[in-house]
Amino acid sequence: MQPSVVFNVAKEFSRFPGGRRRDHGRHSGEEFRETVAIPLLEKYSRVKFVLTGSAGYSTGFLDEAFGELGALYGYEALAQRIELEAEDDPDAVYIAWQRIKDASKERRK
Amino acid sequence: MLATHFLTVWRERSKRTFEEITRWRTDVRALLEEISEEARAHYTDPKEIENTQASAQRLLGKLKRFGAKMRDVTCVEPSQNKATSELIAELRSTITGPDAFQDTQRAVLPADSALIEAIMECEARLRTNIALPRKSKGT
Repeated sequence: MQPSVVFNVAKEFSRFPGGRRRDHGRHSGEEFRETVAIPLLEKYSRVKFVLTGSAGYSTGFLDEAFGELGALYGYEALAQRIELEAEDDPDAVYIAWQRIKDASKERRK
Repeated sequence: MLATHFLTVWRERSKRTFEEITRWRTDVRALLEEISEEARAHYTDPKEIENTQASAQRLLGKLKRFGAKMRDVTCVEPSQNKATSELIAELRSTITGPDAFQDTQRAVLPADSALIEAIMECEARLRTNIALPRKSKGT
């Protein structure tokens, strides 16, 4: 596994992130998780996602893009392996980590 | 004389801070009202359903601006800052969390639906929070 990578969501995925699921349109959270987040986590031991510069993230997008990673990997493992940064939208980072924690708890049930 | 000078400086600074916080409150309340009205229309107005993506993007932009505006000042009581952050996140989640938020096939909701009530309830709690004593950052 390669050590680390930085992925800029606005520049490399979309400046206009979409809704929750693929059937809600392009650049959905589901699409992001399946085509970006999971492949990066399979290739790199540490991934920094830069969320700065987008038009805005819905909670649905954050839930599918990042929250579901909590269900797959668990909160503790993700806390070691990913960093989320959004200089212009710290609320998005807060929500994403909340969703990761919630999904991780569901996983343990 | 020195004491008078410092007292004058302190008084002027306090007056400026008071005016700044008053202006902040007016602006943030207006933005919150705009967000709440647009969010309710997003889910209940058939015209907004036809323009789901545009309506959703407008709301996301305003929610982002609202968060930034709320962080322009801090609570005088430090323990209230965490509650403020949670409320800001809750507003975004209440409005943009539902599956239907960016679903172009979504149905129109009635004005008295649980979601609309949740949006208004969150708005009311934020209004209470906005009324809490605030100070400029760095003071």
